[in-house]
Amino acid sequence: MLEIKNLSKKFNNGTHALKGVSFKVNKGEFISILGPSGSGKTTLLRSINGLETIESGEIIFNNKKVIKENLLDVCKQTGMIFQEFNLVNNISSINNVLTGLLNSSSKFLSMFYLFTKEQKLQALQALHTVGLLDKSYNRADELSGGQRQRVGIARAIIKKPLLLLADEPVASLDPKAALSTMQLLKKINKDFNITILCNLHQTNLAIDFSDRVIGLSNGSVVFNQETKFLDKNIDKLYD
Amino acid sequence: MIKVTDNKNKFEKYLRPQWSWKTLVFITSLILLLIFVSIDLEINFVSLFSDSTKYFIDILSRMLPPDFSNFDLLVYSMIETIEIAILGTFIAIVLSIPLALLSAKNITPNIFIFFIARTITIFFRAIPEFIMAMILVIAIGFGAMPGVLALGIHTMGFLAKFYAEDIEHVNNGPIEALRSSGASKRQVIAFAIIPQIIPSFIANNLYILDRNIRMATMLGIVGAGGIGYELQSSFRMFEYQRVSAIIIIIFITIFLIDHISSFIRSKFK
Repeated sequence: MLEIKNLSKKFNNGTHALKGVSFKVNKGEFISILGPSGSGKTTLLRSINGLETIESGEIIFNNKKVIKENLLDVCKQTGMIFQEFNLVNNISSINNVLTGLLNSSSKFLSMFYLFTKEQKLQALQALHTVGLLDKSYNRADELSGGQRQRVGIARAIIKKPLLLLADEPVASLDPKAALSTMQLLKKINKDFNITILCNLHQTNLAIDFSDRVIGLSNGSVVFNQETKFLDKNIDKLYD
Repeated sequence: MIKVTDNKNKFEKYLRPQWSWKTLVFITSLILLLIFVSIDLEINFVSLFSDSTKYFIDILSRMLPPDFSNFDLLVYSMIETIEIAILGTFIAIVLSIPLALLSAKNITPNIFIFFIARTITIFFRAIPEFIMAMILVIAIGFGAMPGVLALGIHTMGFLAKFYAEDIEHVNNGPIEALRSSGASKRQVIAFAIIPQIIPSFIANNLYILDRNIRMATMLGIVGAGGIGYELQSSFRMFEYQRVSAIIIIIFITIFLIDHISSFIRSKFK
């Protein structure tokens, strides 16, 4: 469903973040991308939904080449969650989740925070899925880190995406919240058949939760293996 | 996939209106207040547009085209105005730094000094520079000096408030780190607070300079120097074409200052 072909990206400051990255993603897979800071993981994920412009190479999403003109279609079918959650802190959880539907909402009414009953029920359902129904009307800054990331996940899945991009979703969380967030992602992956591409730092979480692990180092793919065949010595990635 | 139909009733009881009754009450009261104020002030916006239009057109037609006949004099007065603003702003900066250090809640020596310092800043902010300039003109005579002092003392109150708020909102982390290593209060201010407020310090000073130039254009009206004197005498002589020329010169000056100050601010991130 997603194919990355020879993707390269150089930043204005001269950093060569991606050097010809290629891999394929099948529908329903849970893929972890491992690699040290500065290996290009974040840039790779952000290239897929257009948060970064690509320099050369191709991204093929759902059998269509991603270009500037159809980027909005890609955004409609992908959700993203972030290391720092990126919630709007002083509005309620449900309004944060509803922002995930802005693309398909009335451009006029949404300016006044007005949504249809159907959309609000969808938001409540998404909050229920992440276990935060009773926090729906709490402001996002009243929640703990783990709860905020759950609101972030609800915002990403409310539009029923084909693909969920998770950029270091647990790097800012304590081990317990990290584990339950990964379990939630796994559940979403299985129950709703949403493909997940997840950047991680922790090799143990990658092995425990994903079907396949891609190792990235210095902007290049150094391995791409199913978890069960994985070389136990993947920590050398960080040397 | 997520289906709403599954447990529709289960979630319906969690529905709440997007606008709470508090917000609606607030908006309604605000509208009522505005209506009341307009009625009390006998302001009618409809008649403003229907009746006064011809007078607006009349005065505008008498202001055009702008009369730049003694351009040299106007430019000279404008430069004098800018000089008054620069000196006034400098005085304000120098005076407001100690005031700010004393009136920022997190670093004030004690609550008594805090209260006095804050009262001083409010007092000087409360007296319009126009009034202050009038008093100073009587006390020390016509010229640039009363203008400089009026601007300096008035905007001292502003800057002290701005700096104090910036000091109160600095990131506490570095302060704790320095305290944990046994740094004194003054060392904490020097190493953890001042570096954090430099960008907003620059931005506030440039904003006050911009504001003081605009205010200095008016100070000449009360005899405190600058282009305001030319403005007022043109008005008195009904030379509206000169008035528009002066307005254009002021606009160009402020336009240039705005661009220069955003350039400077971009260098102090």
